[in-house]
Amino acid sequence: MTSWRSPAGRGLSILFGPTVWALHFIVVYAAESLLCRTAGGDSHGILLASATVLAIVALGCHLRVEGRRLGEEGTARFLAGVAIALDGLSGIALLFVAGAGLALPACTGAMT
Amino acid sequence: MRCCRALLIVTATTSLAGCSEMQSALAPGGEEAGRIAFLTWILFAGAGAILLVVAGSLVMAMRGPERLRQALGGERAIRLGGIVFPVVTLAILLGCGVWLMRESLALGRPAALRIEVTGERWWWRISYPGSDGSLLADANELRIPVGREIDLVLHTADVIHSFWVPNLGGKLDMIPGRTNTLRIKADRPGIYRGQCAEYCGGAHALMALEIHAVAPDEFDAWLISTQAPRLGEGIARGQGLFQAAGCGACHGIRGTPAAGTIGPDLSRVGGRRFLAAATIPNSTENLVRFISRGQSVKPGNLMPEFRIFSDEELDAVAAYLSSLK
Amino acid sequence: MSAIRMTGSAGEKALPNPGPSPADELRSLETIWASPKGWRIVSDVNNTTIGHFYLATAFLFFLLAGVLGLLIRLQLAAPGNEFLSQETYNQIFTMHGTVMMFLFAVPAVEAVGILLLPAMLGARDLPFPRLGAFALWAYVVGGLVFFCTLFFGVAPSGGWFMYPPLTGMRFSPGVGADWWLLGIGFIEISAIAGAIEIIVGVLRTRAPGMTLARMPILAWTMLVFAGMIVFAFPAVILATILLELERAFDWPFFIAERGGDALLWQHLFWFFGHPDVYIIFLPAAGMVSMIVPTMAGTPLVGYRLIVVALIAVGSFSFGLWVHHMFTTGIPARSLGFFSAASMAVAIPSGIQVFAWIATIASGRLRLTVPSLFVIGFLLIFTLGGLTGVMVAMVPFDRQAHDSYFVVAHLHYVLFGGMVFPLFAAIYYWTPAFSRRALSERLGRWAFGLIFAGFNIAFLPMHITGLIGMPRRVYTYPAGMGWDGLNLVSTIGAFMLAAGVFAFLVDFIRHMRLSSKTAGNIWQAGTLEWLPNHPYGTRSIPRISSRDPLWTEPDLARDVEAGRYYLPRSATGARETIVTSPVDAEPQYLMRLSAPGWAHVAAAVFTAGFFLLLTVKLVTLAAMSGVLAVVSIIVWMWDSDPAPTEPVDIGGGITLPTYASGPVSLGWWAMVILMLVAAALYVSYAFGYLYLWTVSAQTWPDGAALPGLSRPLGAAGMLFASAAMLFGAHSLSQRDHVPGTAFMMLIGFGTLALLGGLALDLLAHWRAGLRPQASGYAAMVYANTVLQLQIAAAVTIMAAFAIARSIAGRLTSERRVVFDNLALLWGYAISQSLLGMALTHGFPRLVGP
Repeated sequence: MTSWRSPAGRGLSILFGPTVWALHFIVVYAAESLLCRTAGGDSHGILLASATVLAIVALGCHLRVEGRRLGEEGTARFLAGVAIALDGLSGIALLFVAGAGLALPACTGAMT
Repeated sequence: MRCCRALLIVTATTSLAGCSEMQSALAPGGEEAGRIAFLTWILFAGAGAILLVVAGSLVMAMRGPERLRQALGGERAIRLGGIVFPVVTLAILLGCGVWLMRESLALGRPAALRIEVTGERWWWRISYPGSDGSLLADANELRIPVGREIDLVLHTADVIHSFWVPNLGGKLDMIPGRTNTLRIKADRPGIYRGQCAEYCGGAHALMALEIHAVAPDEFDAWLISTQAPRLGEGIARGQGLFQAAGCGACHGIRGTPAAGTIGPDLSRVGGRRFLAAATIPNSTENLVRFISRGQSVKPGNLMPEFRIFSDEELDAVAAYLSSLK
Repeated sequence: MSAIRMTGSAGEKALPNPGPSPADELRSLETIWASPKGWRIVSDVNNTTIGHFYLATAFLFFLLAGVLGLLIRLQLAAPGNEFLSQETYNQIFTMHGTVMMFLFAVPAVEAVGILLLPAMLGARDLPFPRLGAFALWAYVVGGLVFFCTLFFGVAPSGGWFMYPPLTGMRFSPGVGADWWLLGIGFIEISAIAGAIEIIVGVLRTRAPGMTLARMPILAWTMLVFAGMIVFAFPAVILATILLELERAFDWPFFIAERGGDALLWQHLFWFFGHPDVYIIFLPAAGMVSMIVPTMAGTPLVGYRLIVVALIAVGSFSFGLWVHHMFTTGIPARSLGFFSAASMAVAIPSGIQVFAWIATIASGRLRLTVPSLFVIGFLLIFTLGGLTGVMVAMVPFDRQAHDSYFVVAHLHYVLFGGMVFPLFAAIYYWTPAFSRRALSERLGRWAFGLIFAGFNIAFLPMHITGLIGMPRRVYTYPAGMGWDGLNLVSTIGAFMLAAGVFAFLVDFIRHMRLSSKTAGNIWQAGTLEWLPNHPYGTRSIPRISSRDPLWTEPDLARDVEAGRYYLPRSATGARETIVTSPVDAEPQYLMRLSAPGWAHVAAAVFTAGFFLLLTVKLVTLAAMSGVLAVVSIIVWMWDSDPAPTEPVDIGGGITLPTYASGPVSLGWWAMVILMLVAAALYVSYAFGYLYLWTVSAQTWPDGAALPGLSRPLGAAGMLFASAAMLFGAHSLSQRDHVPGTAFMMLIGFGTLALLGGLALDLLAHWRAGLRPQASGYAAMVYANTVLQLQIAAAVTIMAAFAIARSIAGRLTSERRVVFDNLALLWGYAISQSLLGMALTHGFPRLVGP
């Protein structure tokens, strides 16, 4: 099995940020579709907010881990830099998505 | 190259000024379209400014003074121009977009009137609520009162269509098995043209409609009057031919035995400005052409050509239809 | 000449093969790598040959679809024009979009990857040469037949995104839609084959020392490009499978009145379609990132940020698909999510633009023809990106959507973002393959006409759209204010065509493919500018920087003199060095396949299978399908050669000639293939759940579901299959030569898998469920179809493994064939169990 500390594991580690972004996106989008069908929209705001907090925390943790690797040499340092920047961009994208979601009412489709 | 573009913009704006503005998102006839048009100009200005910044940076990077080139040539410039600037601009834009979406959401405000519009290949079925709770069928020319909020209840009878009257706001698709509701409001009286925006096969290009925005009291009066048929003089022969040829199997005309619902309702076809879903101007000659050689007028339309009529009979049928107002 | 050379940055380092090279070394390399002569070139597999054919075919489709574009513009030059009939026009615009997107854009960038990557990475060839050749010929045959439907008036006419119900049997009874579904679906499979080749090639066949941090940006973009294909294309393949099942057998996936939903297609199509834009654009951006540093004479500024941008775009672009469905009446908050994601994806593009500007600023840009095309690209693509942000604004998009504004936007993004860089790339890289460079003078004419023509054609369309002209109309009335703008667009389109013509003249006059090339006329710094031969470079260099030709001025001479790694064929076969994915340290020497005919036959018969199916010649199609499978088996029989003694590649490095498990490239390819299958199945699961959210009323209650006895029996058989898989696996490690027990386990294990699936199918059938009944029922049977697809592949591979065991070609050491079977087999079992949990479990979970 590929260890997280092995070179291949570090290569995959740069995808952590985008993966968190994608999971967050799937959760909030799918939850709206499903909750609007079943439970109604009220619970969705809470879910959206907590999913966002959770995702940001996960990104923060990963950022710390990669931050320590910045001290290393060569490829490891390069990959850590890429991973950190991707965590940052994923965080921004995630906040965009969550912000737009929270500002709009759940489960309404009637547009003018 | 730049003068080329300038020239283009000039041509574009002059031709814009010359156009009829009947089907333009840039000539709003209602609040919603006004908001979007305003947003459009802001977006154009912003996009123009950003394009200038990028083009300017490029020119400076190639030919600019040494100090500027040094500033542009580092990672700092990439971070500023490529990350910080877009993040801030896009966040603002997203905020604007979301704010406008909230404005557009008709949250809980009831509409003054609900009109059903159904997309058909390749025309629009319209159904007004009559005063007695019955439904008044019509087609291809939608009449609405100015200043009142109206819900258009959008359906399709076959494939996906999209209802788009640019002067009154954005488009909304008509999707099988779904009901979409489009809130519209015209602020000034006039005639607005709309067109199917989602490719629906065959004669998609010839599926248009007109919206006549009229004063509210005029609208109310019209709605009452249109419930009863208004037949002109000397049309008995045309009416007889219409029935004998079986036209009523597909077309309905209120107050007559013709009760078909497959094709457009013809109860007030003579009063419309256009025929064949706002494709050709309404005239007796064009009615004759459409009845006898419809495929050359509107290729692909689903009505068979009625070549059984003699010229004289065609004129009589056309006269009958023209009298229905 | 001193035998030891200094290298620039890494201090003193001895060259791996310093001594004078034996006289026959070069000759043997040349013999082994010689391409077949004359018409036999069709059997060639070398990436240079395949790349040229690939690119030429893609360019042919560009010209053909371009002519269709001109016909469109002629028709729209004046209102009420009767140049083209309605049906002809509808077929032409459908084919223009389809051919440009599927037969030109994606194959063209894939072709550039196949042509350039090995040279750029310091590999002798791509890892699976016959797979690349298979993908090429499948594409050539399938693409040409597909295009020819236009001449018989049976081309599809449903628009390039083929929305049902318009493209369903009821509204498109003709064969056109089937051509699209089977033809395009099949060409996507060939694109996936190419993507697997590219991923494995980029990650595993780089020159020693070319770490991820030193990899040329084009290789990064190709990696992201191929990775995106792996996840995006399965969605549209699933969509085409479902729609074709609906058309052929009346399974109502997209028919609303029977519990299907038209929007399901749109979700699946755009989950592919939006990333596809970036799939096309990213490699083009990679080409720009190669050209700019050379023309500015300075290393790329912000290399790391560009890598970040590429990965970010590649990921975020999967969250934008509803961006194309803003007007379908989706709830406001969902629109907000997608609008926000559409904004977020613009940030990384900004990074790339400013990185190129920074590179230009830190050097001195030579205004060559490639530079001009790059500048044109920068301006046009920036404008396309800005209008992209505009349509990401939901309120604005509700006006712009499906109008000519969008036509303008997409051409700015795709033509600006991909065709301009492609022209730049052709001008830039021609000297690496041709005896002469292309002409700077004709090139300037070509650029000027294309740039001016493009803007004159497409800039006005932004306004045409906003003043109300919808897209895809074959005619329009006079007096709407559209007449003048359309005429201007038509004039621009013909200027653009004149520019392309100037390029063609230049190309025909100056392009002379040759082994004696014009060489590094731009003084570029990357490996593809080393003297290049059919066998790649004479010896494989060790890399210590991103621009090795700049940091090590003697590199070309030493490489050509055979002083680096592997200056000969160590095993007497075609071979390339396999390195580790991150640090690019040599791991083993992979022997590559030589020219042959089996893969060509496989491509032709596979194409034949799909094309004959389209015209309902079922028997002939079946025969073609069988022949395709036979050809594939013949082709694969010679693959996986037996291990030899480890070989010396110089510099004290001795490499094994065989690898199995996670080190082997076969394992990597199979894992990627499993990711493709998984993406396909996840798309299916999405479709199943999605359909429930729109038409839960057609979902059965508990009584209508099959009882649990058959599904449990089926699950039992799947577990038995898994047990036999484990048994076979441990036997394969224990016995050097596989025995009867091993073969029996494989045989019965496969039967158990098929039996389990059959029992599950029977359960639904006996419960009275018929696929035609409802969207739900169709989805249940679609699950079976997908499971059987994989199971069929497992069955064929199992038979293959048994045959090789009997022939003595499968041992505990030479085991890649079994390892790959085991991977796919295990995957098939897991996916089947998941499918049963979904189809039997979910209705019970949500049911009354």
